[in-house]
Amino acid sequence: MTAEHTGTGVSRRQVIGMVLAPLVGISMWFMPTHEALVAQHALAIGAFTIVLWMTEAVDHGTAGFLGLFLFWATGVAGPDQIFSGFAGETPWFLLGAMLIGTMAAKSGLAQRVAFTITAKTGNSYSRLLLGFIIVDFVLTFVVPSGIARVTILGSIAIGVVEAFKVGPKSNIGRGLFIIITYAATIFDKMLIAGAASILARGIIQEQGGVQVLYSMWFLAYLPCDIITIVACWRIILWLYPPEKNSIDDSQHLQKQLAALGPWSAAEKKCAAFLLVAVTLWMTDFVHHISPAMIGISIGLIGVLPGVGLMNVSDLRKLNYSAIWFTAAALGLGRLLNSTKALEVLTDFFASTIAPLISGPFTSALVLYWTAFVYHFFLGNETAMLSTSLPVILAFAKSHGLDPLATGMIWTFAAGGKIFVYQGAVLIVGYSFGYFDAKDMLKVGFILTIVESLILLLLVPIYWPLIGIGS
Amino acid sequence: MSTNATQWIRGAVPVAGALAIMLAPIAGEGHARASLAIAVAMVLFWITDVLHPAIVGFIGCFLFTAVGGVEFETAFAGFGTATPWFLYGSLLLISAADRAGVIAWLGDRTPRAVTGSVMAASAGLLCAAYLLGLVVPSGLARATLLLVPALAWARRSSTPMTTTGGLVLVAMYGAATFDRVLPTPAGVVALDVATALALLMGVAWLSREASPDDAEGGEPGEPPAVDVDWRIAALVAVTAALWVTTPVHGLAPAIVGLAAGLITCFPGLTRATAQKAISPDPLAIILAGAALSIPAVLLETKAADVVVGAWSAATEGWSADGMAAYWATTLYRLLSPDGGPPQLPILDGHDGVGSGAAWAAAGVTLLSLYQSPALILGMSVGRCRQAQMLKLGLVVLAALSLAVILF
Repeated sequence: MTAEHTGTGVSRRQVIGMVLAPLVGISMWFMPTHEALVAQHALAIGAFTIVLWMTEAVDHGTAGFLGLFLFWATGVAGPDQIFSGFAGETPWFLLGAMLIGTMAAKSGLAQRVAFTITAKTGNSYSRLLLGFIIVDFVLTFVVPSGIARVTILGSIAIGVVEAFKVGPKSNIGRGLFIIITYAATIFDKMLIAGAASILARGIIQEQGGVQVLYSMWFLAYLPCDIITIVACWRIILWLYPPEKNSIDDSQHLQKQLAALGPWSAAEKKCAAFLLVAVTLWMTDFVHHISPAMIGISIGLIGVLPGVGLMNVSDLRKLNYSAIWFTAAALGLGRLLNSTKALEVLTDFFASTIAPLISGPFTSALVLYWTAFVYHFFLGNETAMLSTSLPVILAFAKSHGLDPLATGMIWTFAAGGKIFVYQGAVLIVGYSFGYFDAKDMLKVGFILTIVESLILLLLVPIYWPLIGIGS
Repeated sequence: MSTNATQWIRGAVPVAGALAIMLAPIAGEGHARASLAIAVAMVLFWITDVLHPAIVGFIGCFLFTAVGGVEFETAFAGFGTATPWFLYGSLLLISAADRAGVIAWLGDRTPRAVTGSVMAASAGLLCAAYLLGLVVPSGLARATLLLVPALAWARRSSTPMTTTGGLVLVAMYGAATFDRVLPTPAGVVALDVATALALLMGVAWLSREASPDDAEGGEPGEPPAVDVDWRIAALVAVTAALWVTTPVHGLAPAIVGLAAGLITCFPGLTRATAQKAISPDPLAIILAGAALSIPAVLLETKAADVVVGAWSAATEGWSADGMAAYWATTLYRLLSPDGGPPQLPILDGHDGVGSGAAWAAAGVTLLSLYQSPALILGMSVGRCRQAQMLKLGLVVLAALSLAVILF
């Protein structure tokens, strides 16, 4: 990135964003896109914000605030409408998820889960690889942040690569790290875990007007989870045949696990909290308690003195910018919707995409690949979802498509990536230095095709059986 | 008594308060009673300071929706108002000013006559608060402006009496309460003079108790050379000018404050923010949002009617006793922090003798930091502590009670 900097601590991309965003905003402000001026102006402010998000000229939370601020300062909307996203449950669900992740990492439970599963899978590369993929999936329930999961698994994988006595750029190193990283960005779209799916759930509920249950989401993607785990495993073994088939020190992982000692009180407590959370999430079709309420309550218990495992300092260290961004994105979506600013985009989408959609089969295909292409332009997946999902849902509603199915396909497509810039999780995995951009392109492209094929089976055949898109 | 036992007692008070509400023979439906009990527990937790106030606030909001019977959007309504985000802007601006050396520069250029005497510094800040109150129609905007000299002076002083928290607290208290328009009625001027005197007495009390460790500034001496980022200084100056001229241009102070804060986030705009982005204290924002959610919930569940009823009952038949009205109104206002809407109904003009005066006096009697975003700003940036706040508030309460008895 240093080469990209202009010498003032600002990257070229940021400079482009800071110049382009006002230009786009001002041009659209005066462009007669709508009959109603309010809608036209709202779209202009929306475009300004989206350019900031696309170019990452400023922090995502700040960009969201700037958009909301412009709505307020220009009189397009009042403060009650503008800040309404902050009073909704979605940003606070994200806070709850972050607290749960922090609790799992701080207590040591996440590491123990990782070591326990990998130690049981054996010493051969093939089995270890499968173990890591399964751990990545299991940890999604425990640590909803993809970055945290990659950090935890990456630190363990370094030890494994060393135990194999091969270098970082070996096939073993490349294979392990690329799949840990890539799977982390796919699995958290198949569960309501992590910022992207939590945000998507909020938008689908608000804009689509449908209830989104945690259990339903999980059930809808369960076959996909299983197929993805197997596909990831076989693809990596095919692309990166190992230099050695097994670790010389057959007790390496067992020793690491033994070094953790017996279960600490903190780990037991954390495991109990998480068990309650997962049980409640999985049974939400019975009790109908909102997943957000469950997440927030468990997160809050985690910060209660004497009961929880975190303190004020842990609470302060969370990434609040992501929370503000989520709330701002929801607020922006509401404003664009209420001012009818989205109509022009929906009309455009309808005229270009609608002729290609003739049933569940084609809708799965067209939506998935449209989202995949759109994701090139909007690297950050939460920004990609927040800017496009309201339009897609408006389109779905106006064309008789199931908003839940449409939203779920679009969200799932956010997992398809081929460039490192397309997600912070990928950047974290990449920063370990075990794989390069070419690996990412290769694995990403193959897995994106695989995921698309899986979706083609799920959407027209399986989802109607469980009541989605029927 | 051991610290542990004191903590337990302080923790038991809010729980007892909530239980008392649940068992009290008051009118009101189940949800009204439950939400009132939660609100009372939150207020008492904030006053007793046994848990971090942001955690209390967040748990309280969660309980409002979990057991208080209101929608999530109502339970967290305070976050949907402009005030927490105005506070966010103020925190960004103050942090940028601090990082840019503006506060240190101001401290260096302040005469020792001011920074060497707590009374002089406090009196100066209170006068400034009063004058700002005549032109800037926002407590948080006034607090942001006053925080710059308050921090500068507190840090330049080495005497315990000018502890950062104490001096900043007086400034923030003044900013929160002196909200006047010209011409100010004589009665209100008298009230403000009494409040200012009480605050000065309070500072004297706080400074007697302060330890030398509380002082931030260290030994006075030749001030180190301060490298000021003048772009941030200019931003602070423009923001101040816009706030002070609010009656002329009519731009809402919150819009100006949020804009100024967001400007500091632009990368490369200033050296102060180039290397590391400013991240304002999120817990202050959570506290402000949670505090402002209380009146929204009480209004939604009709618990506000119960509170108004209780206030009427407390003041009925006490026509000769203005103090009862003053105390009852002070308690009532504990449930309706400044910075809304939403707020509980103003009781001025309500049946009850002297309620207008009682309302005004209760308006300047603040006992906890959550009661005003200005005080939350002081807590977050100026190290103001709830224990200090309670002492200061009690001094004002005692002084104004005496004034009510005498006059």
